[in-house]
Amino acid sequence: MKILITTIMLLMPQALMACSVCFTGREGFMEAFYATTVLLIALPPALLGSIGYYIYRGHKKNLKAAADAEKN
Amino acid sequence: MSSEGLKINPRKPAIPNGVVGMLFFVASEVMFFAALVSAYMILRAGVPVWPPWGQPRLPVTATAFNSLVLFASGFLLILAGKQFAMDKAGYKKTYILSLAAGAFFVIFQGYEWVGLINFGLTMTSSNYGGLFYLIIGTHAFHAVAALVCLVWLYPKFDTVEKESVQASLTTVKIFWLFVVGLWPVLYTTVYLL
Repeated sequence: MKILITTIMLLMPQALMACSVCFTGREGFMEAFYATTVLLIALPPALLGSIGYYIYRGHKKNLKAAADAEKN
Repeated sequence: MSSEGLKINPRKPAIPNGVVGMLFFVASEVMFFAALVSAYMILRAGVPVWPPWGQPRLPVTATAFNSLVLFASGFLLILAGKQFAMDKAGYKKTYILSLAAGAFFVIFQGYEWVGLINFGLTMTSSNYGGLFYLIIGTHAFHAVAALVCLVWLYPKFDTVEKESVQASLTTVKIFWLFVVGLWPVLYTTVYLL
């Protein structure tokens, strides 16, 4: 059995290169995969970074308000 | 700026807790919609003709008009928030107008859906129909939920102290602006591309 599988793999190397989730040979399909992969990877750090910055900005605002109150 | 020597109220959070909660909720919803849009783009790229043969075309112009109503609603809510913060009269009127524009958007979308269903676009008619109702329907569900929050907040303008209402208004505003801000992305992806 092992010999049979090895023989098939050697005879059909293209089949080994195939992506397991690709069900079409269209060019745009791969681009869609790349684009959405980048989108889904980039969004979480961007969102968490934005929330972190918003909280930091609120903290700075509180500090400024406290400094102003102490001056007056 | 250092916090040393300054008398900061240690119990006062940098931003209200409700706002932090809403920001994380919105972030998770952004990821949810990103997954839906990704699925749409991949399925769409996999077929040679989109929309598939025999499926009705979406009402692009009517929805563009409806989009403007939604943007107006978002703008009016920002305006109402500013008016409320500055103790200006008329903030309730602006708030009601924002609410009405949001409700119009949802009702008009429902009206469009009835037409599309009559033309044969259903959840089971094709991938196209399934994705359309899933993505646009989920957005509509969020719009309804945000409108319910806006209605819930309205009576509190008269009964609850201003600082607390201000925090609630900011929280609800973030939710509604998420619904408004997400729409152009979905409209472009589903209706225009």
